[in-house]
Amino acid sequence: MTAPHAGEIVHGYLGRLETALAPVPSDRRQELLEDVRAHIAEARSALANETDADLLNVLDRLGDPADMAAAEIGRAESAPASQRPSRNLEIAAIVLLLVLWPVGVVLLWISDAWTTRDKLIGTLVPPGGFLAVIFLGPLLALGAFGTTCETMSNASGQVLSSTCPSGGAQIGIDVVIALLVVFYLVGPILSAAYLATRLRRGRRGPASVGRNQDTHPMNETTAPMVGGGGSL
Amino acid sequence: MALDTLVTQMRKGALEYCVLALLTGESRYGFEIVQRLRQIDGMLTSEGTMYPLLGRLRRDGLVQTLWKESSTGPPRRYYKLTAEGQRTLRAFRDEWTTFRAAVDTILETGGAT
Repeated sequence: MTAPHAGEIVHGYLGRLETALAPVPSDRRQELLEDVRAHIAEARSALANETDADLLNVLDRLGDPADMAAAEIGRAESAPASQRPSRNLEIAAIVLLLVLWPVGVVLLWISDAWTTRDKLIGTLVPPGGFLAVIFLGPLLALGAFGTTCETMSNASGQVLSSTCPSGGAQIGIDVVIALLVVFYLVGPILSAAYLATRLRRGRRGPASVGRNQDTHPMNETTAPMVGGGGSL
Repeated sequence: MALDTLVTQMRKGALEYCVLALLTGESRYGFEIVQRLRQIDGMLTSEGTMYPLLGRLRRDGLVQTLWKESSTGPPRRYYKLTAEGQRTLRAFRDEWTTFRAAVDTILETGGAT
């Protein structure tokens, strides 16, 4: 006898597995789904009188679809928190780039979580971060408003003399200043957001996949120990 | 490294060689491999991860697959050890024996000779 909700339960699990396996090439994904389908069928054929609980038990032993996807993609299966690389340095770097730029830049370049290109973007967009605004601010204000100009005109409106730059030049300066202001106000935020997304991607990106597939954790863990064992 | 992390890593690392060992002299299908490992405590936490592992062993040329008819249902995908798989298993067995003996010696004698 089949479990009352067998269809929904199995279908739901396979659906979640398929979603979890989305990054896997499609022929390999189909093969894994086929493996799991066969596994479930084998397990069910051993149950004389299956209940929903039996079926859930089978799926429970199969485990979280995410674990299976991780095993296929090459990461450690949902590693405990202590095993995940700590990202404190990177988080500090991003925050400090915003509030205390020079320290942030140092941390940015110390970290190995970003590529050189990322680090250059983090450093140069914009150079100085918000801190630069403190120094650039008065300078910009001077550029925008400091050119106090006086125009003397006579009663009929005719300009006699003017210390103002010509209209076109002033507009040009204003545009440059406006762009600089926008660059310095928005730049650090965009830059921080970019670094944060690069950081997140790095965890599951192709680079880390390749690394884990090539060197199995066991090799790294025991190789030195085995070597040491020989000289005991 | 925390002890539980080490144990997890050691199990995970040894698992693929245990699978190779299970296939010595006899080809088996996926569910059968899982069932045998289940009987040995702690070797397999998420059974589903066996299938990606088997896929990797095949990609690495340590096992090959073949379909065999089943008397009870649809054909099953069987896994068979290749010559390369046998060599790898032998190499692991040697390393493991040396390593185990070394650790045992130290644990039992405290390193006294």
